Amino acid sequence: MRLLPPLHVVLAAIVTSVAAPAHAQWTRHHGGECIPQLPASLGTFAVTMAGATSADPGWGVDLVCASDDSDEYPDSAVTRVRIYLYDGSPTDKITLSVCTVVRDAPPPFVRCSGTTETTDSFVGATVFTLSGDDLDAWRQGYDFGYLYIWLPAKSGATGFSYVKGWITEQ
Amino acid sequence: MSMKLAAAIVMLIAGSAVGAQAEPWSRHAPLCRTVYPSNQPDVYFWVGLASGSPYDVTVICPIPDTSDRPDSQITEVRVYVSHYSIISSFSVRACRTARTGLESVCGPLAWSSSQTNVITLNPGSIWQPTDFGYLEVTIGTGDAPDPIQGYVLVY
Repeated sequence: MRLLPPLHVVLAAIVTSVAAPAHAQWTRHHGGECIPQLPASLGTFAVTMAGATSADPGWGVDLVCASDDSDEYPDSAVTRVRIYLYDGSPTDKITLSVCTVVRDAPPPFVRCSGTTETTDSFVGATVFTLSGDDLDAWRQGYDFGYLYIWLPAKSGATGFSYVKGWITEQ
Repeated sequence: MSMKLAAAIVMLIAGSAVGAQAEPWSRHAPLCRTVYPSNQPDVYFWVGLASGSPYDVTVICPIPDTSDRPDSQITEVRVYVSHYSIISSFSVRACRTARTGLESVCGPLAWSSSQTNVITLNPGSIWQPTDFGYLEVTIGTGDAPDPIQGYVLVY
């Protein structure tokens, strides 16, 4: 009776385990990777030690934060996104959407899903967790994905709102 | 199984092991952001990220952080700069934005004098598994625009 598998089966299993990633993937991004969407936001956009923010008391900032998208880890396979934020405004809210620039479509070229907000009166740190249908905009597999985030204007002397960073899991 | 096939598989495995012993690194163009909005018009891309400001300009460069290569495993950072000016200087430090709260922590500054083109930094324990790491680079003033050429991360 033969108890051990043949040598070539053992070696093949070792080779396969070396070649194939056997774990879930995560990627963590600093808020400083985001860029303002509109020209008007260029004058308010700042990246501080606490993250990306609007430094202007009169205007907020709309940010675009690109998704991770490769053949090995496509954004269409993202299972969860967690965005770490700080809402410093007692009168305005943070708004976030999962969006994509549609490669082959007429204007407006953009599709979004999973819109999430704080409330106008909320002040403090928060985490938006998006999964399932929230991520529909990234499911096509050939468009260009990003997060859209609106941060309120600075409130008073110290009421900054921040995108601290985000984590995608695949 | 033929001896040739067995030998080929053994060589493949040995080759993978040898490759894994090499020191992993990644190289990055300096796609950094200015800290202050008023500095945005001063910064431009010319042989790297350069500043035309008559004052020091500080930029923040996010550090890649993935499960395959977490920033907490980076052992060395090499920031490459050019000195077209004889009086300019650069300073670099590793920092992290805390995931919760508004705290931020930075390590010690590393400096470049007018003749040094590589600033080497050991981030130590600044980049931790849960926070958002970045480099803070200050571009000093000079009589010519001096760019940050890029940076290399060694794991």
